[in-house]
Amino acid sequence: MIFDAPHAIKLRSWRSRLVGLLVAAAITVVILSLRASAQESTPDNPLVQVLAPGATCATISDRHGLLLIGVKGQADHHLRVLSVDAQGAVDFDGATTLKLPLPEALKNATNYPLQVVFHPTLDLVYVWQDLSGATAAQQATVHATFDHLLIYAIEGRSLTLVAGAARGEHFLHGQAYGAIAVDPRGRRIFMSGLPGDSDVQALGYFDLDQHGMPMPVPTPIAGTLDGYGLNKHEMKLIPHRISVGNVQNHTTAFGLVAPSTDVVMFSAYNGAALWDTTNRRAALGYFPIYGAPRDNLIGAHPDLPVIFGAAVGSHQVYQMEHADGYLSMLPATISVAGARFQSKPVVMPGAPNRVAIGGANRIDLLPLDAEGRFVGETKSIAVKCAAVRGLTYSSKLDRLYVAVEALPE
Amino acid sequence: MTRLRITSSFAVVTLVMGIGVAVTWGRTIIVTATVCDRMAGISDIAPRQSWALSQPWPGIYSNTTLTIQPRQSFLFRFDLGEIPDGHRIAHAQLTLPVNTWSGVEPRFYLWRVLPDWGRGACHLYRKVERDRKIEWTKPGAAGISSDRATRPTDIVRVTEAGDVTINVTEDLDLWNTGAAPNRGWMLTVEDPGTVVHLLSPAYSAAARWKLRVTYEPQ
Repeated sequence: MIFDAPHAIKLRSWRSRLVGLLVAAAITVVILSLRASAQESTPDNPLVQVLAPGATCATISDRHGLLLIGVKGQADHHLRVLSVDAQGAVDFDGATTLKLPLPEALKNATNYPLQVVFHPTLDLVYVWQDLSGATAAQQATVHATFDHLLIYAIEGRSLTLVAGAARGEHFLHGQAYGAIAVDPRGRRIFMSGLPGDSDVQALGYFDLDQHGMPMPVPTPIAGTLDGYGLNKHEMKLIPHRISVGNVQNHTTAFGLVAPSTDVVMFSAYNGAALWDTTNRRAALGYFPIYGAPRDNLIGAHPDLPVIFGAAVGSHQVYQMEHADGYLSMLPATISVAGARFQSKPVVMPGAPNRVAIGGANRIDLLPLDAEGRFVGETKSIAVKCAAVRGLTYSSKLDRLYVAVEALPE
Repeated sequence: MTRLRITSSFAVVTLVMGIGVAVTWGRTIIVTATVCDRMAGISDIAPRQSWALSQPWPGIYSNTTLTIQPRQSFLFRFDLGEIPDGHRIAHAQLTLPVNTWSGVEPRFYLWRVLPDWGRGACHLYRKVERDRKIEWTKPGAAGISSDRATRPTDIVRVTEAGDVTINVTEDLDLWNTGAAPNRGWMLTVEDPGTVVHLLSPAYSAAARWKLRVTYEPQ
């Protein structure tokens, strides 16, 4: 195509305008995207949404820069492993998935993660898994081969399975919720989902060795006698346990909080309870709140001796203090209009202090004062997730990561 | 006729003045345990628990009922912020709902608590702070003149179920004048073999625990 000079000048002018427009558009897109990413870290909207349909749990380790999301219903992708950079951005391109082990003899059943917890000091991750769909004829196989507790070593950004534990008739399976908690010193791992006396529920724990591995305990061998007329013992990995049916008889899995090695708090009917593992005469303490909903998912403040309970599928929240895990002082309760809570409360300390609770297609942020008490008005943020259960907070990055079924458009 | 008018006028003036005095000078408030800002049930069997109010099942302590017996006591503090400054206490009365009891001539004691207590209050400690645990002078807040007042406010003999009233005017006056800080009260049973059960203010019966206070300008 040949143009005369004036045309060529016009064309060059038109081209330069087009290039200018394109550059301006590109700059606008970059600015908008930067603004969008910046919005994630503002106090009004601290959310970072991660696509993970079927999420049952989430946890983040600031020390490792790892975000783990447990997913149910994805046969080969039980655990999403995502790295998080120093600015809090999730590396979606480098994401990997883990398939939790399922014995060959149970291939007809479906296993799924229920909670994931980092060891407080070691490079370990504890995953609590369960399974559904095992037939009655497979019960013995489940007890003989299925490990509920999986221990992964963290090497860089990858997880390597190093041990399995919690198998046998000491553990229930087919549970919708599951809870584990490691004490701050990493000496003990508490767990829910144990069968109790006379068909009620129990809690249990394993002591952990210096490598973070569950320690076996001396177990009497039936039909044997030693020189003192007592049963001989063998070392077995069975949990210390306590039946808690009088305070919670249908599940102990709505949350465990272990602020010390000796005491663990758990969700009980209409309130909270504690297990004092050092006191056999008063092993349990139970505080029901008059008029409160039956089931509450509980979570702890990371810095203050305070726990929160969110009513499952309802709108009420309580706050209660404790001292080393012993419940103390009167609880405070509030109602959040329109909420139907699905997740454990996740405290976001900082400025401002807040507690986040996942619900049905929304997350509620409840303001707290410096002592962890409710103050001010709740802010709700809409997300595309019918039941938000995967919710975790990075105190280093001041961001709340939430697993959703669909990202915002 | 004139005398009648004078008498009527005097009556009206007296009535108006009486109303004026009542409105200006004296007022009675009734607060329930819903305004209590601290409570703790302490027991030597559960020496770290704050809610050892009763043992509904063996080995399980709870707040649903309140049992006081030797070495198992109850501490509570009413928030008295509703009493305005510049007033004196004319009369104060505490009402407690007694449910059942056992023992010979059962009675319980009401004491003023002397030191500050709060989160983590239990048989061993009066307070647990982030980096330290502050003990009672004697476990169970048993220290006379240090953990609890030198003399009990009252010793209440239990004869029938229902509301028991205790005159606490002197205690309220001490707190209101600032002669002693309001650290609340403590219920104890000192006689071996005596057990007194009350409806729990930490569960469903907060409205049954009442403090009636009449105050007037100083």
